[in-house]
Amino acid sequence: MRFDDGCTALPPHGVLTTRFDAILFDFDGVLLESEYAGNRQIAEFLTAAGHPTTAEDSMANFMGLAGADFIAAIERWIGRAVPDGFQAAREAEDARALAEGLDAVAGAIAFVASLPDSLPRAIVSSSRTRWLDTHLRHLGIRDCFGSNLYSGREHVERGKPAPDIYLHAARELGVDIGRCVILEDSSVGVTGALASGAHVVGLVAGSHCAPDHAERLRALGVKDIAASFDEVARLIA
Amino acid sequence: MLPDNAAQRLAAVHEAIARAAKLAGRSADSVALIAISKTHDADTIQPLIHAGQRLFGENRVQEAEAKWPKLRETTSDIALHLVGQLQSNKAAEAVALFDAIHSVDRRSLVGALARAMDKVGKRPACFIQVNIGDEPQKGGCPVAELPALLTDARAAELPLAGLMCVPPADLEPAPYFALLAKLVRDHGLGGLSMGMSGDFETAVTLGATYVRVGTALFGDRA
Repeated sequence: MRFDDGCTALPPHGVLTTRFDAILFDFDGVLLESEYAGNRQIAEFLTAAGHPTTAEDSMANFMGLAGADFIAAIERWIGRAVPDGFQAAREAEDARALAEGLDAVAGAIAFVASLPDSLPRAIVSSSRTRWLDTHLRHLGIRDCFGSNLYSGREHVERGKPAPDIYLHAARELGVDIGRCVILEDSSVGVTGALASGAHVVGLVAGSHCAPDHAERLRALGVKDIAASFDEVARLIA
Repeated sequence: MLPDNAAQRLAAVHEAIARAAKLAGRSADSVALIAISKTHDADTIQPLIHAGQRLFGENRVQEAEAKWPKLRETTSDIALHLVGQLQSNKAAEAVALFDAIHSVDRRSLVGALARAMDKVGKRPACFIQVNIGDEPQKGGCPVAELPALLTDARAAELPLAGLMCVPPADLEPAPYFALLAKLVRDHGLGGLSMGMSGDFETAVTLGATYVRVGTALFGDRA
């Protein structure tokens, strides 16, 4: 499979070398700087509803979860059903982010542009494909991923932390999961990524990563931690 | 993975409750299973009713009003418990619809419930929700304010059944369940509403008389 239909508008690429046969990217917090803004909004909503919560609390407790698991984690945190209007507020914030776009994680765009055309790659995310597609367009790297945008909510029954979405992406790329490297940033994500049997790099480059984030990922069993995409390139060479 | 079929899921939860009860030297009959049916529609609930489940829990008055009266038409012996937060202005509707309320957490609600019970002529059992981990973000009556709230509830003649809690999310729940059990004993109450899909067995070993189980019975909510 080749990926040279796209990526033409980007700076020089094809410079990265890697010992892996495919690369799987988590999206929010790995390529897109969406985690901090999204978690701050969750925190502000819960605080206004009488449940004092910081963006850091939100990231520590809810980040990486989606759907029913996400709601259940919030309900456990506040000891109640999510307040009325929560879903509507989330949808409004998502609509705003989709319309206006968000920043890329530092170094992400150049890294994606540096992937050799022949290297299979995919997005493996808990977000919906509409979110992935639109933000990849905002970032100018939509064409680099072709049809390989995979959502834990749309393509598999069990989302992260189950390994299913990573296994699904590897199958779609036609690459053995043991020959894939996965870039993940959240505890929930690395749990599933490690369980899939792929090699996992914990990326702590996003502004949502607290100083102890690398330690949290190491405690889950991640051996390779990268604080930047330059380090990712060295770790996967 | 959960069994596909409602009867099998229900049997699996009952077996887990029986195992935990046996460990603690309790009778499994002393634990009531509340099937948390919030966000599930009548078609999803019906198989569980067929399988023999009669006690259900809901989070919101409005959602429960929309689906339960019809389900009760075909199965008259269903009991319905409110486990979610209750706004004072919905107290009368809640009293009319529910057989128990697990989320009494403040003085103003005690007053509203007492008035609603007089007006409706029905007295559902009441549990005080306790913020057992004293977490700033969590709903429920702070542990230190529990004695005063109990005094108010008794003065208002609410039918007090016991205490309810949701322990901290990221900590071992057992000490919090044990603390709630102690508070129930200290205050001369009987009912202990504690334990959800992830921790109901622990709650049973520590004395839960009601466990509130959703995911393990219905699977993930849509």
